[in-house]
Amino acid sequence: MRLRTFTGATLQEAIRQVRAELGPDAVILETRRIGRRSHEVRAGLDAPETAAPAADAANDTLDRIATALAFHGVPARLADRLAAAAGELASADPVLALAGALDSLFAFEPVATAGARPLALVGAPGAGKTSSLARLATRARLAGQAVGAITCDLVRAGAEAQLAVYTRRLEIPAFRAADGDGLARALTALPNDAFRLIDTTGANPREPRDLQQLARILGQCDAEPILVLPAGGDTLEMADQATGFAGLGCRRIVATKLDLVLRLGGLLAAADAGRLAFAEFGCSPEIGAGLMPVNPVSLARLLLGKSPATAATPAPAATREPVR
Amino acid sequence: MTAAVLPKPQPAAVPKRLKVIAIASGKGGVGKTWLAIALAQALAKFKERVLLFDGDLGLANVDIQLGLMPRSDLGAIVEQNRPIASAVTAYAPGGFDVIAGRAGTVALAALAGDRLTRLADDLLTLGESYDRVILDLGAGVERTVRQLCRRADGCIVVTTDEPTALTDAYAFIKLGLTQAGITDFRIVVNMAGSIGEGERTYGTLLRACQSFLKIEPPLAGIIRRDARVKDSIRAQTPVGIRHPDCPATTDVLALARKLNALRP
Repeated sequence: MRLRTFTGATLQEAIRQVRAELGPDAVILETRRIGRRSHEVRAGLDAPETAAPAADAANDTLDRIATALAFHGVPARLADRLAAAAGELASADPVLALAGALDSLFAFEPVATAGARPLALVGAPGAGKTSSLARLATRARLAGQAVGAITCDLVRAGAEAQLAVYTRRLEIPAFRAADGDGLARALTALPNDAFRLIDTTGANPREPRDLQQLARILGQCDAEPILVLPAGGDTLEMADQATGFAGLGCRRIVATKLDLVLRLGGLLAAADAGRLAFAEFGCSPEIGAGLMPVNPVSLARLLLGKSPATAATPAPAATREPVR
Repeated sequence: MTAAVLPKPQPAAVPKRLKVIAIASGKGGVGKTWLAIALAQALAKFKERVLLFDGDLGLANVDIQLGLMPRSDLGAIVEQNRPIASAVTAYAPGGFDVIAGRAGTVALAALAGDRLTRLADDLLTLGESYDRVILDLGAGVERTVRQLCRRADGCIVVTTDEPTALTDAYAFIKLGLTQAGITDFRIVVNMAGSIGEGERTYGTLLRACQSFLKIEPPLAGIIRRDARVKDSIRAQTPVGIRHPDCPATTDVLALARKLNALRP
């Protein structure tokens, strides 16, 4: 209801103002004389309700969202912000309401394979960096894009061999670099328009030396560090990891192993804590199935219980045929 | 406004007896928590067994206004799955019991619907051993407020003469009516310059409800503006204890007497 107070020399004058400003539907709620020469009129006009969502539908929507966020173990403070943002949208569709809330709280920035800076996949050991590299390379290759891979992971047993399997299958050039200079040389050896991907040694975000070493290597080139983070971990641990890698300059997350877990609260907590954008979700053990570019709607669907396969269509250029 | 979403017009019925009373307001800062406490104390004075539940799930402060140091609260019930009875704290000076909330606990504000329903069920079961249960709800009209309000027998909507308080009280009534199925609203005008001014304020809200919602919520009471209210809040003591003869106490007692006459 809009409530306005009008003052006139006479009651009629004040009411004339009501009609002029609020129209014929306004209701006079109160009149009073102010002194000898003034009259005050309070008038109200109610807004039409036709656009309001049905009573229980709006409540059910928010209930469904609150229940889903609780199931996923989303930290209470974050769940509260999401529920409040969803409530403001007043949509009866839980997916749209949650998607709107996610869109207002998080950034979504899928990986573009053309004209991009080199991407350095960073993360803790076993996060899925090498397989994420292979998935991104596959997508770019299938889109007809020139691709090159460089590994700086000369520590983990079999890391180079694992990458070599992928790069041979994809018929893309692959290099190894032991330090920043080597990385810079390898990047120069690749065509400038190629989609250049860098695999790195698994780093412990709690170990300053690991992060410093990574920063030293990446500092020699204009690569974007992108955090590879497996879903399903402890919420606080994931948030800590994200904060640690955000300090290295990461702005985006490639989430992996979504096919193995049911609860995504840790992932949301990580993105929130590190102020990281969601880029891609890995939802299949098959390299060829690619990564799923994530957007607010697909994430809302995942949170509301859709399987990764139905939450969104895979990247347009991806193929279901495994590269093994 | 469409007639389709509104319940049928109601005649001004004789107010029914309320055992579980929700105290709500659209706007914050109209004295809702203060009134809930003052009313609990006044009803206790009439020998009622009263339970005051701090249902402002995000920003609870009944315990602060009473200077209580509860050993347990709503946060503990929710986080540790403890029985609701374990969070009852006796407020001996006022002769009533309190279930304190926990300010800043977003876990309560974001409580999922089924948990909230369970909490309300437990509260109503516990309420069976009291004459009266008073729910001090949060300001605003969001989900948790509407859901708790729905479980009460009736809802006292607190307003003041300020245009924002009036429009927010109206918005609360409208949403409660159209979206939560609440039909028993009663109005308390707080901080009125005089009884006459309070009646005028009620009249304004009543005409809006009659014109746009086709309902006539009755006037439950008018509480006059009184400097001793601020003093009692500062002293963390119900006004009826600190200033038993002041105008505000007289008005709260009149409200309680009216409710007590309709004692369940």
